[in-house]
Amino acid sequence: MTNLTQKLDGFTIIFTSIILEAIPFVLIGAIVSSFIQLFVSEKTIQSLLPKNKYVAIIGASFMGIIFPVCECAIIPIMRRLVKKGVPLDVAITFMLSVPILNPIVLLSTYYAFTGQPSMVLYRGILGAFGAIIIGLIVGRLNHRNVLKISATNFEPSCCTNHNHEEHLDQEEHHHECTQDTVHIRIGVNQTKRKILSSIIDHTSHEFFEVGRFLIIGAFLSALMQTLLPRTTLMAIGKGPINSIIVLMLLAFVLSICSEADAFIARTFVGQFTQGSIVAFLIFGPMLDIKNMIMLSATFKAKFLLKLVTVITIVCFLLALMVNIIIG
Amino acid sequence: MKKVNINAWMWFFVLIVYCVFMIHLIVSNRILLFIHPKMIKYIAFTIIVFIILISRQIIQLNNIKNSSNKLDLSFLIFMLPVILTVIVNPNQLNAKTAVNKGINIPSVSQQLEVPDETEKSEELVQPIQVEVGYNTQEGKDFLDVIEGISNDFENVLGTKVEISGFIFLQEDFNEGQFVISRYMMNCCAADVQLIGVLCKYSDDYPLVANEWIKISGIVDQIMYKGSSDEEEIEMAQIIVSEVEGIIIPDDQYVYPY
Repeated sequence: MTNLTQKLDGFTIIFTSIILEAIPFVLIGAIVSSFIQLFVSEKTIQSLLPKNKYVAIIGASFMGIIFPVCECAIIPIMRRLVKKGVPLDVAITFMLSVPILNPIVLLSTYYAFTGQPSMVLYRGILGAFGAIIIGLIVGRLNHRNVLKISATNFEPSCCTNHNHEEHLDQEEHHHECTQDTVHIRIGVNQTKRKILSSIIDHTSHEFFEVGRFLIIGAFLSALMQTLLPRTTLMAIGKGPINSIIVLMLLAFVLSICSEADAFIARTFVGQFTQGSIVAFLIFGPMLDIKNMIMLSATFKAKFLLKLVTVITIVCFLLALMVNIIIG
Repeated sequence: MKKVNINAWMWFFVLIVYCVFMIHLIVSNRILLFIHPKMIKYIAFTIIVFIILISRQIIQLNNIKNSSNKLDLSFLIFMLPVILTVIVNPNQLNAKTAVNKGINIPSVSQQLEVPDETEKSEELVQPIQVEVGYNTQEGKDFLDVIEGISNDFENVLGTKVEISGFIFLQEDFNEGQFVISRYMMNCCAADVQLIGVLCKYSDDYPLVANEWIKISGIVDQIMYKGSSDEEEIEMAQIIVSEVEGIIIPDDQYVYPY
């Protein structure tokens, strides 16, 4: 086999494997998002959200404990919540924290670092703390109209009597349509059917919206993994600062699920600083190529750039802190 | 001419292609090349949801109200992984990839050193003992040898082992020296790590990187020097007595848990 075909083989396997691994969870995210769209009104969200912003953000950071989804599923859910009027800073904290402070992820971290349970604490505490800080900073940034309007021509129509523009403008329209109009006009059985088809349509649409970005993200991640030898990355260095940069870059490029990344992180023990391993464990679930591309489906480029910068700096500083304190 | 909702048709087509693709991967067992067996149930779930989406999409096909004549290019993106997998038809995550993403070290010495760290071995051992289930018998044999070398080297030393894996070669290897290796998978092919044992074969055998072989031999130890600036370390080496070429197994990975 020639060099090129070997690389193409490796690329294809990694590319397809990332997609196959992520599709079920993006789909679950899309389904949850559809349920929120249909059954949770903006009013309910407003009444559930604590009035105090800080309480809301801190509360959001702990949602992972009762809401165990990983970083692929959280994106469609976060999208929907922001569209439903959840403040951006609360939604961002929620999105960044849930894939870390999640029982499944913490448990796999515990297994991976069998001789070193403190790593679970570092990951959980610094992950949640980082998510809160990032939420607060993002809240201070000027952010009007950060959401992208759906750019696609394709929109599965849900209720045939509404047109395309209405669907985009009026987020509540399904709600009204299924709850009121249909309720009165047709019987209960019909309503159930209508709700069900609305859920399916929304899931289909949400999956279409996020799925294509998942594929682009997986493509880039596989490309980087095939073309960029890890040794090149390692050559940047293993010092207290360089090691953090190396492992953050690696987490970004690898785009592996937060439920599996601890096992990779484990292999760095002894070769890289403690702080850099913490960086790998908290930065990876918050941001990687795949996620960043998926987020670009939701946020405008300018805001996404700000968000990426803030996440990177906060994670870097937290890791540096660990290196300074533990040494 | 009757207007056609082209994008609804395309989405219908994409969903069907994905469904067929995933069912094919599961039925042919090719799915194991990409993901951990524990993930297959999620793919099955995806197939079921896709079938529901497809049945609903049929209704949308004749709905021309919101249709646009412009074809959305996103559908090409969706088709890319399927087309690529079908055309390239990859059958092995090879050692070429190993050099790039493989284990976290530049030289084989450290890679082989990994099982020698006692802490590391705990991670390897514990899950293996809990769940052997996902590994094939050959995979389990392979892990057993790695585990034995890392935990209980004195007992393994001098014993006869028989394992299969693919050949990994490094430039600084001596004549007849190679690593018999396998990828260990946690979730999917993006997170695999290379593990292996150093081997030495005196007879004339064409050692070709990535070729799958079955070896039998005796576990021995040598002093190995990785790169020039490193100290010599004690390592396990299998003195191979027999080598036999084999075809790539359906399930080429090993699973730690």
